[in-house]
Formats: sequence, C-alpha cells, structure tokens
Amino acid sequence: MGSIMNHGPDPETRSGAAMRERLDPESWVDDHGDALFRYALRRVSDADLAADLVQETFLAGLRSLDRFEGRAAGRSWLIAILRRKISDHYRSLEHPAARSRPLSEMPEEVFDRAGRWIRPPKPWNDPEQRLEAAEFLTALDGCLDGLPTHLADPFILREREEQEPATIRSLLRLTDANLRVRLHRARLLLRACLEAREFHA
Amino acid sequence: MPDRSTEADDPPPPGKRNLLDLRCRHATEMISDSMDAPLRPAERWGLGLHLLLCNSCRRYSAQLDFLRRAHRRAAETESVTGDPGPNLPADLRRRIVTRLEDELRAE
Repeated sequence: MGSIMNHGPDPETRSGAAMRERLDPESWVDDHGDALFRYALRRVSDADLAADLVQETFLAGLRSLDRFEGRAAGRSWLIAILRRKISDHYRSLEHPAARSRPLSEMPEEVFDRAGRWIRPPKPWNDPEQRLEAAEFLTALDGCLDGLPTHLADPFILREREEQEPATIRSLLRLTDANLRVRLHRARLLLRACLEAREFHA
Repeated sequence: MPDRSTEADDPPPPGKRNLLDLRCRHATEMISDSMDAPLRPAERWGLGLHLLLCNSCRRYSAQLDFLRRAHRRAAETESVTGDPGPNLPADLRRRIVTRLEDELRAE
C-alpha cells in the first residue's frame, strides 16, 4: 500500500485485546463476504481462487485501516481493493484481460505557473444519459482503479461510501490538510481520466 | 505517480488566499473543499465571483457534481445484496475468518 498506510498501531495506547474487541472478523466477513465472493466469482470463475482473492482483500483491508474504526469502512472500499487484487492476478498471468493503469501516464501538471488551466475541462455531451449505462460505470471503475491507492482510498470512502471527512481522517489517520489535498487531487485526476475515456475518446 | 501531497502542495489556509485575485488553481481547491465542508462566507463570495467570470471552473464544478452522482450510482450497484450467485461456501468462509483472527492475534 501507499505511503499513508505505514502507521502501525501505537502499542502504548492500543493493546491487541482492545483491537480484537473492536474489529470482529466474524461479523466483518458476514457483512461483506458473500458480496465480495460473488463479485470475484463473476471475474475469475473458480471458487477457490475467488475465495483466495476475497481473503487477500480482507487482509489488505485489515492492514490498512485503523482497527478501532475499521468496521466503518464498507463495501465499496473493499470492492475497490478486490478489483486491484483481480487485476494483479490477471497481470501475473500475463492474461490479455490485464489492464494498464492509465492515470500513472497522465501529466502531473494541471495548472501553469500563473495558476491557470493547462488543459481546461471540455464540455461533456449528455452525461446524465450515460449514468444508466453499464459501460459508463465500467469506465468510471477503470479510472478509479488507475488512481494511486493513497488517493483512491480517501476518495472511495468519501464519494462511494459517503463517509464524513472526520471519519475518513480517523480511518486513514490523515490530517485535515492532507485529506483535502488528496481528495482534490483525486477529483482532478478522475475527471480528466473520464473525460479522456468517455467523452472525448 | 509520486506522492505529491507534500507541504508545498497543500492549499494555503483560507485566510491567506487573495480572493479578489483567485486563480483557477486555488478556485478548484475551493470547489473540492466545498464538497466536503461548507466554505466560510468570504471564500464562498470569492469563489462565486471567480465562477461568474471563469467558464472552465464553472464547467469543472458541474462535472464534479456529476461525478459525485455517478459514484453514488456505482455504490448502489455494489451494495445490492440480492445479487444473483452463490454465497461464500461455509468452509472457505471459516478459512478466511480464521486467517483474519490469526492476523489480529499476531500483532
């Protein structure tokens, strides 16, 4: 995981016993296990492999969250981790379904030195109509998967799971300024990605 | 992509922005901020003025609103529980729970 994920629990204040009380694997897996499994099974069509990917997803989730608040992070966030696991799996097989990560190729600079747009947003043709289309949601997920995890994690919690900023700061242990910068950056990148893929392909 | 969330990239504190000379770089920060918490009155006024004059930022703001609706729509799809398909088999479920419990115990 990205650089924000390296903060282990402070052993002085957070005992293992307290953590186990707060995050109960039984109920966590009850809440999301079936949905994650079905999601994986539609994409890898092998029950054992799907279960492996689901297990890796829960483990990755466990490791990157503040355990005290971990149960507040929900379905969308876990599914985003699962999508990365599935995509890593296909890439490891050099399967043609492996996708590149388009956002890492995007230019870093959005504004010039004077603070003006280098590539101003273009008009989007009839976006509302696309909301219903499955391909549009696939493109949206593709752009999301291309974000580096330190931007994707807070963004998914905010925009997909509608968590309050205070909750996200506590989940990911971010300062207010840090969270604002990451959400802002994620929004800039996702908007540009979607414009390139969906509206001006 | 390198992590650019360094001090230099942080938005300036609201009080230090010159709202009469708001550039798109800072206007987009404020648009983003306004999606997560209410802006202060002076910021709201400054951003409103900028949006009145700046086509690109007005379009950006509308597109972010659309993106928010799109992600909520996607989340509804993801949270559907009546999704067709098999449940996680009991033995695999048990294996995952045990593995998570081991992980928690190991810390």
